[in-house]
Amino acid sequence: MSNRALIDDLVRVCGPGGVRHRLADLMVFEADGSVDGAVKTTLPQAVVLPTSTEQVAGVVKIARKHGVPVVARGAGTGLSGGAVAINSGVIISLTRMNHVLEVNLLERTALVEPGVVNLDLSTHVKHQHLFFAPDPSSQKASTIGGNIAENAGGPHCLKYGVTTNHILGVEVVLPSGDIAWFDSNQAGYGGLDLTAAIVGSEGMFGIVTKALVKLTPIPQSISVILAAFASMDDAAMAVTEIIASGTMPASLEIMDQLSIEAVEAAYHAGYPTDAAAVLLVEVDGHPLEVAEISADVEALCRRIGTVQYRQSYDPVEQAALWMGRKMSLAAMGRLAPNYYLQDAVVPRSKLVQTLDEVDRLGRASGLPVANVFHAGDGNLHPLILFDRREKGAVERVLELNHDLVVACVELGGTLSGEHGIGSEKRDHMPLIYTESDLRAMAGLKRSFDPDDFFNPGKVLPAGLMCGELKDLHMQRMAQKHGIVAF
Amino acid sequence: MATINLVEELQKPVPFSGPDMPDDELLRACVHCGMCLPSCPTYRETGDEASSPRGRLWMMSAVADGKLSLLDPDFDEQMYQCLNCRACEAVCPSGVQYGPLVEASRAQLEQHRPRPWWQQLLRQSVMSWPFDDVRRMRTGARGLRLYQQSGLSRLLQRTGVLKLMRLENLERMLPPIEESPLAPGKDTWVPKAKLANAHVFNGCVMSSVFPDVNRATGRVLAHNGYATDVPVGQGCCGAIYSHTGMLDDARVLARKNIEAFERAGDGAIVVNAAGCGSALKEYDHLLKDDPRYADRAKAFTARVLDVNELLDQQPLIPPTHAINARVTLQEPCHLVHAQRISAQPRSLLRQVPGLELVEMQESSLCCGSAGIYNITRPKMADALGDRKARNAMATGAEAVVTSNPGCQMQLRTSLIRNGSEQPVEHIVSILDEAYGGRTATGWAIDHQ
Amino acid sequence: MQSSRGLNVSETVVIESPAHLADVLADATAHRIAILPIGGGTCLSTGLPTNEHYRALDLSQLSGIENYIPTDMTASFLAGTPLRTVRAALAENGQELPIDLASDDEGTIGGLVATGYSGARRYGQGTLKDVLIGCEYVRGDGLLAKAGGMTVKNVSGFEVSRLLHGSWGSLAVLTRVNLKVLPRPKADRTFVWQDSTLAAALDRQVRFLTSFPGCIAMETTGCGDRWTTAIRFAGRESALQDYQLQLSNAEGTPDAVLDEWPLPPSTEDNPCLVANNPVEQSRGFALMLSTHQGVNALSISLPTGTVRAELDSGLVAAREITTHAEGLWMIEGGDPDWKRDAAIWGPGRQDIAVAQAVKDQFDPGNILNRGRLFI
Ligand SMILES: Cc1cc2nc3c(=O)[nH]c(=O)nc-3n(C[C@H](O)[C@H](O)[C@H](O)COP(=O)(O)OP(=O)(O)OC[C@H]3O[C@@H](n4cnc5c(N)ncnc54)[C@H](O)[C@@H]3O)c2cc1C
Ligand SMILES: Cc1cc2nc3c(=O)[nH]c(=O)nc-3n(C[C@H](O)[C@H](O)[C@H](O)COP(=O)(O)OP(=O)(O)OC[C@H]3O[C@@H](n4cnc5c(N)ncnc54)[C@H](O)[C@@H]3O)c2cc1C
Ligand code: SF4
Ligand code: SF4
Repeated sequence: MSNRALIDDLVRVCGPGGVRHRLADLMVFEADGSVDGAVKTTLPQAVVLPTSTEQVAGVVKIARKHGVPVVARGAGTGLSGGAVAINSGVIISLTRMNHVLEVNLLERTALVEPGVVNLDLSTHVKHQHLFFAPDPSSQKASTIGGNIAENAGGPHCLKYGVTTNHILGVEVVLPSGDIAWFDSNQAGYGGLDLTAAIVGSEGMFGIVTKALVKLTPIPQSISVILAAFASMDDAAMAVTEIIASGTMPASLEIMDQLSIEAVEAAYHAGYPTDAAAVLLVEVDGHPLEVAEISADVEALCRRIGTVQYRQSYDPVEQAALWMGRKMSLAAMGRLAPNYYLQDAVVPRSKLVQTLDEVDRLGRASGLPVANVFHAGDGNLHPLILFDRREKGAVERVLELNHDLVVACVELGGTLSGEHGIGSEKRDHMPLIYTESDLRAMAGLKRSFDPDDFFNPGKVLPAGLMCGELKDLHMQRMAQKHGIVAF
Repeated sequence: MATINLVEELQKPVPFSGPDMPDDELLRACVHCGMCLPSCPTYRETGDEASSPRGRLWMMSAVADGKLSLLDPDFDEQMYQCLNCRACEAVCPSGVQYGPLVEASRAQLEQHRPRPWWQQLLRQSVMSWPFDDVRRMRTGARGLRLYQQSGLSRLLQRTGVLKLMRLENLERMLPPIEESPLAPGKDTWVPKAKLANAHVFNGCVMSSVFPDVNRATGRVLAHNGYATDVPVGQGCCGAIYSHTGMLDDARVLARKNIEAFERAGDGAIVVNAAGCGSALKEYDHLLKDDPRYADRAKAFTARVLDVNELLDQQPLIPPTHAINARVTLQEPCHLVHAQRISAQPRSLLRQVPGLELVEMQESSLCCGSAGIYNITRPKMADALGDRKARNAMATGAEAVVTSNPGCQMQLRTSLIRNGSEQPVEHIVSILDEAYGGRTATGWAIDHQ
Repeated sequence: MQSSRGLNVSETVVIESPAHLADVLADATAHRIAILPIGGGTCLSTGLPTNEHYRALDLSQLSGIENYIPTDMTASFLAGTPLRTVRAALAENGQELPIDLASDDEGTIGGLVATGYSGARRYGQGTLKDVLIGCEYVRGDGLLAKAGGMTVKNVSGFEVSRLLHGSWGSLAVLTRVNLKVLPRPKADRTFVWQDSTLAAALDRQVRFLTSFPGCIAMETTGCGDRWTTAIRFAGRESALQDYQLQLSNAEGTPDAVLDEWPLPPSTEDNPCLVANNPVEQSRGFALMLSTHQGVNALSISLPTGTVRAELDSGLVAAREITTHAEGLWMIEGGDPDWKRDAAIWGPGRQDIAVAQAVKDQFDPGNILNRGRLFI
């Protein structure tokens, strides 16, 4: 069927104002937040902007009828190409479904549409002294639907957990076009926790059209600590000791020297430029407890030999202490026009060793690499700086990235802590998973989407979704156990 | 074969060319992260990537790369749907300078695209004529005053002639005009103890529609130690031209203002219209390629201060009259985003005895005024105006405070449309009242 | 033929290794043999009663702690590791799981993940799902695979581990679970008040809910005119003392202050009904009732030998309460004949088609725990 027929059908469901199909309007959907080159930009056939679950279901049925794939999209801030329609098809943009439908104060939950912007939800419930705990650095722009699909995390996830720990249930439109509600409390109570499977499924299992999310009480007291150290080893040791002392801060972040320099040059955040590492600690909870823990952290940092120590309970000062960290990405922008943000995770005890490796590989490649990372949970964010106009720059970045990934995996790490696999890290999956592991994941995908119709080409390396592989295992087993077929 | 080439030639996207092309360096600074999306009023209203800063920049790059035609109607649409409110610029972590890029894109469109005759006519009559000379604007305003008083206005509103002429919005925006405008070169305000000189930028809309605000500015400045005057020879700031891609017209006005304020001698150039202020602060960029004026423009720009900025440089001389009221603040785009002035008005309001400031949601989201936007795109402007009115009304404040004439007019109409009685005041008028208004002492007015 | 808690077990295979398990399961799938994985065997009677003849799997050989690095705060356990071993190993390093484990717990870590049990701290600290970072498992069809890893954050690939949590061994048999562990709080204290009516007790709970968001657990239990409401905090001594002061000012001196959370009465002996949402009244049935904050579920456990009529009326009431509170419910113990007649897993569910499709993918021969969740 022609594109025209597809568009006409879509207009019947979403109205003319809810369908985009002309060149300029489609072009703006060919990319997300990922680096052009790491993810190939692709033009979708059509983009729809539905306003209800029923419209989403209607669109899914039409796409099915026309045999074109469907890709869900939130704010398009994803860093792994998740929202790019790499096989073309229809993009369902959920940005118009952006209402907070219900807030239950006693249960501390909110029922929201997927297009609600993460920070808007926290602002919405702020006067009830609640907030939505997952806080990706993109929280000003990224949507709850996108956070769910990528299982997003952020600095405060050390204490509060990542997105999956805050999703109690979801309404989804399935690849069949059916609408279902998944309740995570069913785990153990006679059902399967299908919500757990939806979180982190990168839009490949179902399109989230509503979510029941947990809200967290705003802590009574917050203390922010900045401790600078003369070596990365010292900073890492401080992290280890803080954790060993039996307290769980809300966040533990480290910046290395290059990041500090960049931040200071751009914003004068007051970080000591002669320090090798700056550690930011946030402690929250009962005021007396926060005071005690802060004192413990101070004693511990001084014993290790902090070269500068600052602490504050004042929100304005706290913002100033955080500023350097928050603006670090921006500051990099001033050092080089482009950056590639890596997302590997290693066991916490391997942090220093990994950073040495990062440093070594960075030097060898000749590309500057800055490090700003979630030290508390081992989530590294090496930032590779480059200028895409230089010939071969993107290729060199991707090469270095590959080496970094391999190094992290060798140290017991994994590919991604929060940004997802998408099409960008898809081909790295065999580094950490065996063929069996991946086949089992493909099986899970198939139980939601047997025809590979939602967001095809993501997460699973090529070939895994084709029928033959599935049968291979069956045949092997059949041979082994002496029967013809299952 | 030649014919085939011709067909291909015709189908090739029209690229940027000629003077005022969007600067490639600035364009490539966008890393497509999307952090600017939620601060953009048109994206907030539509939820459509095409109506977002990132989408618009992507389109500009597509034109620059020859993938999209400059004359693609959807490109044209987006370049003009943008309010040029600069909210995206203020939040962009990579420091993308969106303003100059959209203005250059518009300049390209103005150069290369044939406009339907009626649009040209409309733009010339509504836009160019009244603004390019303050005197003419004032004549216009006087005419308007007559028109408002004569009852003709009601007649026209009813017959719908205005709507036909797309002037209806202009009409709705205008407040009743009471005072006569300032006299440049004549009006001065002398403080008791002089701190420094200040030269008021008169502004077209401000001087014609809100002359009382300009007078209040003189009085408040004098209360705070500034010997204040209104230099002769100044004219329109030119924003209306640079925003719509008519950069050469803007340059003519810029040179004129630079000369006028050079003649006025030392001291700050004080602006109480945020839109004008941000335009004046960009003269250095506008004239950077003009060998005769580039340096003078830099010196000029360095002297320009918004009235909020100037007054908040040190604590106010304590106001004498309490104002027992709750007010809410609407932040003009060209103040908060283009000039990054946000803390100052709040600090000033806090120094007024009795006054309570209640913050509204989205106080820095564009109200839909944006120069002549509410005339050219009434639908989007109304949607944004309604949104703003709802947010202002939700605070329960007794008045809305802002500091830009365009915003004042847009807010007023929007509030009325939404059934609110909340008056809209310029921050200077509030301060003036806190010093006792027209009848206050402590400074002297001096008509030369 | 042995009987394991009312289930028919025709033979037991002692599993030696994950690879061995894969073989056993592939074979069972080929021959459609119903499989019953057994960890500690502590809650085999929960769920739909069935007349299947099972081949039981003894997982006790898959026991041991691997890769426990206290400073990483992560640990990997073979699935058959007894909970008491887990508890002791963690306690030695001042760490724990967010679940109260008894020192003599016979259950296994694999069984705990499979059943999805959580305790009172679910309210403040969540379930094992929240700390599950990876696992190794064998699907019903014998495919040995792993998901996740040993890092505390991981979004590489789909979330199989968390899907297996609470699936009652119906999709796969776990051979290893990787968990994030928590520092043990310096102090842990529970404050208890008595009330003579359920309504008063529940009002108290609502007050706690609104005024003390920092608590980690809250519960009301009792029957007749004796109701107990408990609220629990963990952290530094100074904070706990301040909480006690605030509580005393608001609610009067507590009737008891405990350093140990009162573990719920053993379900085998005492009738016990557990509900999450504040219930306005006991609906007149004479069973013991307790409400837990944190899970939208109601579990009723009735002693064997309760009169049938009383059981039925209890069930009706439970159903009403759950529906009213938009909760879920299930029956844990009870007479097999009676269970067979009652829809024991609670109300029908919307997601059944997808759940069945997942089951078919993981366990195409429907051999695992046949009858427990999936018929
Ligand atoms: C500057 C910057 C900083 C960032 N910092 C962080 C960080 O700290 N932590 C972090 O975790 N991430 C971070 N990210 C990555 C990104 O913001 C997150 O992945 C975010 O969750 C994506 O949300 P989105 O709404 O933009 O989704 P999109 O990018 O639009 O989509 C992402 C994926 O979700 C799917 N999807 C979207 N909506 C739905 C839905 N309703 N139903 C089903 N699938 C859906 C899409 O198909 C796609 O696969 C950052 C990105 C940027 C640009
Ligand atoms: C707060 C709390 C409350 C508790 N309340 C109760 C209670 O009310 N009643 C009670 O009996 N116990 C209770 N327990 C203990 C509980 O029984 C065990 O902790 C655990 O849930 C069962 O472990 P098990 O090894 O004995 O499992 P089993 O009884 O051996 O098995 C239970 C189910 O899990 C499956 N299973 C076991 N191991 C695996 C595996 N490795 N892979 C896949 N599936 C497997 C079995 O097939 C079976 O379906 C409670 C525990 C806690 C922490
Ligand atoms: S303009 Fe700035 S904030 Fe917006 S997408 Fe580009 S780089 Fe990001
Ligand atoms: S200037 Fe304003 S309207 Fe235009 S793109 Fe930026 S934020 Fe949007």
